[in-house]
Amino acid sequence: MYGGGNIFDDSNTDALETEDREKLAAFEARIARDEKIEPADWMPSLYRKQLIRMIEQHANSEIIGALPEGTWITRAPGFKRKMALMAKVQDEVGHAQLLYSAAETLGKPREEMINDLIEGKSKYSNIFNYPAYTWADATIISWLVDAGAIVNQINNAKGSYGPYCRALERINAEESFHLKYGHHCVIHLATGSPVQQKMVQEALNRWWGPMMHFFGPPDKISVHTEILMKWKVKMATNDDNRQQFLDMYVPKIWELNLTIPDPALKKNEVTRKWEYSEPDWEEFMRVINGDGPCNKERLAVRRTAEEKGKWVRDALKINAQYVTPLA
Amino acid sequence: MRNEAIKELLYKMADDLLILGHRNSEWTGLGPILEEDIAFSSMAQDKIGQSLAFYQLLQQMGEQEPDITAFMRAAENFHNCQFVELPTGEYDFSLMRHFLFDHADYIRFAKLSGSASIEISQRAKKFTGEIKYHVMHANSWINKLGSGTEESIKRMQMSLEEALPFALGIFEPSPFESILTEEKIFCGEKILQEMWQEDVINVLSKTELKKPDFAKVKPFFGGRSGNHTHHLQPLLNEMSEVFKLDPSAEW
Amino acid sequence: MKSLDPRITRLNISAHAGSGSLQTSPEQLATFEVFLQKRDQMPFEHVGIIHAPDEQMALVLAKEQFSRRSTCSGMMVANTRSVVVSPYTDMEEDVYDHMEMESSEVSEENSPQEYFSIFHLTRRGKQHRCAGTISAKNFEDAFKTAKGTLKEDKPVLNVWLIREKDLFKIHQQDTDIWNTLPEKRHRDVTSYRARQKKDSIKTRS
Repeated sequence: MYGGGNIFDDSNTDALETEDREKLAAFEARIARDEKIEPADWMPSLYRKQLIRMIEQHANSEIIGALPEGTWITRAPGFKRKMALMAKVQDEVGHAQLLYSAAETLGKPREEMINDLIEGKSKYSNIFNYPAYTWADATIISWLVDAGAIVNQINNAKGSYGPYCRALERINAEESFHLKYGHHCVIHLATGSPVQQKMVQEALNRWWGPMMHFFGPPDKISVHTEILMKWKVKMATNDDNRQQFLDMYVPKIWELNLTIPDPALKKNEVTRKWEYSEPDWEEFMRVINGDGPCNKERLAVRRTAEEKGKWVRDALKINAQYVTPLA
Repeated sequence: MRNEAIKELLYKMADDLLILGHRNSEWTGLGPILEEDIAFSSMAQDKIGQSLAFYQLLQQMGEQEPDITAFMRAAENFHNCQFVELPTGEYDFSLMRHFLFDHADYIRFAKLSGSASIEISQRAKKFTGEIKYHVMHANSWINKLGSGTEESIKRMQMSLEEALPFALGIFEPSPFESILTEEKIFCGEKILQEMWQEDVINVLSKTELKKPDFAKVKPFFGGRSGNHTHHLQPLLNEMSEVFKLDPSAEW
Repeated sequence: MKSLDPRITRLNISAHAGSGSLQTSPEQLATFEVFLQKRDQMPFEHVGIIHAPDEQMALVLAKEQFSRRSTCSGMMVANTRSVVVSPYTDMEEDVYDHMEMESSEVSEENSPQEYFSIFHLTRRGKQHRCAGTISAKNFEDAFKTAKGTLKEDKPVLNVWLIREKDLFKIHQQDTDIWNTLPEKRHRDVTSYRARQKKDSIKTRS
């Protein structure tokens, strides 16, 4: 899983002025004919920089994303849920490994990326800055946050950079279990005892706002990313992704007799687009810049894990000789 | 009596695997290296899956269904050794416990593969590959850290010394040892311990860690008869917190 | 710091723990390229990398990172530094037709033959797949030999060459570590069907 709403810098295309024109044309032509870029190919430094940033954010989201659901690993009810949740959270860590590896092919070593994460220099998906108060919260995350991630990932798998596409193919194959598992859990709660039904409805109420933030600010207030769309780094707009998610999952939520805490949410049968109350984008910006309920904890935990593991890594690094990975 | 003996054996194996799997799952997302985080979590899932297989066999023998057996008993009714209920500590302790416990289970399963009880031998054979991998993994890590930096060697040595008395508690004799050996259900804890000591020394002697003098280590017994440390009940409370909101519910 | 996660509470982290760099040593752990065989007789395919101190640890860690699902009958790793890479071609050209391998190696005329495993990429964005093993004097020689014996119907866009002695495999007698893989249903989509429960809602409302 991961989250959309990548934070892209306003892509300063002035940097392209200094690039070799012929090489740039050949590079763009390759992308235009849907041929993947591989690590050994020439690429403009803006492409390299933005890709590293995007893949890094995705990887960060996976490793931080392991924490909200991880909250309930030791308390999962029954064998089936216990083993499934362990496997799911393990997959998030596995996805982080695949994604950091893909970013490494662009020249940034993994430890540097993890260091940047801990120092707050690089970002991760905002949704993981919220707390998983109950077992039901964990199930809603497993279902809806993964659903959102899949919408993004399926689109991004068609992007231009080979290693990222390969990582996403593996990730998407594993995600199908995540989605089914999450949905299975929510169905059981929604059809269960009054205590269970209440728990899941309240969890949904808490997580709906963050889910509406998940794909990032609306297109009309987003930074300019035309060059990234042209280079197939960004594959769909935030609003497109959000509409896709609503189309696929609102009916599924409603069919469980759960209510979504937005009375304005409905599909306009004429435009075929979903209408909803405008999410609070100021809250989004506050949280992504550090002022959310769990930001401090998430980073403190990651820092602690790295610090406690330092002696292990040091013991393994004796005589280590690193080169950039190949694919 | 034969049935009693078999049930006791199954309970202690299943309880060991459940509690250790649970402890090891505490590392998921918090491990020292991504790849190792992933591997450790897989092995924790294996352990829990193995415990489930033995609880299911117990259910066939008239015990409760696995979720109830695992999530509703109080600490004094658990038969795991005290070793597995100890907190995870730092990674050195968890790895050392993984090494010591998994070597014992490797031999235990190998021996049980020839058990006169078909149900037990079938399951033991089935899990041979899994426990083989667990031992492979443990040996790799002991080799690397046991001869790594000054700090890694010091930590692993301390963990080894802390773990040994508890590890010997794995082999606490059962009241049914003679029935199990006579009926050829199991070779018994004594033989298991002897073989385990040899294996452990074999691996450790290739590192800079000191070879343990087992004769001088006083074992911590009690777990097999329900006498546990103060760590087990809180572990069980945590494990069953959601389940107990409604034990009859479908989660 | 008290957390909603009891594991985190037990870590006793100070909420104001640390700032600044982790002071990790500048060295990175080496990487190993991992190749997996899904089923007997199928070619080994590249699946990714593992950071590890050596090939033994790389194999142990690769097993869980890359073969947690479906089936696996074999796995091997090679230090990234042991892989020799051909140039990538453009426009679907075959690298064997258009490129010469530049090798920094110089071999004596009488130097012994070694075995090399050859991996082909036939489509950008996909995985390198083992095309075969050949005997040659050095990498340049191996590339020439592969050109003669391992050409495919479709163009090969990129070639990896690895000395057999640099490839470390899971031993045949240890492939039983994957025995229970097909039975681990808890990661399987088919274990999560809930048709009856969903239908129970319809009958209620």
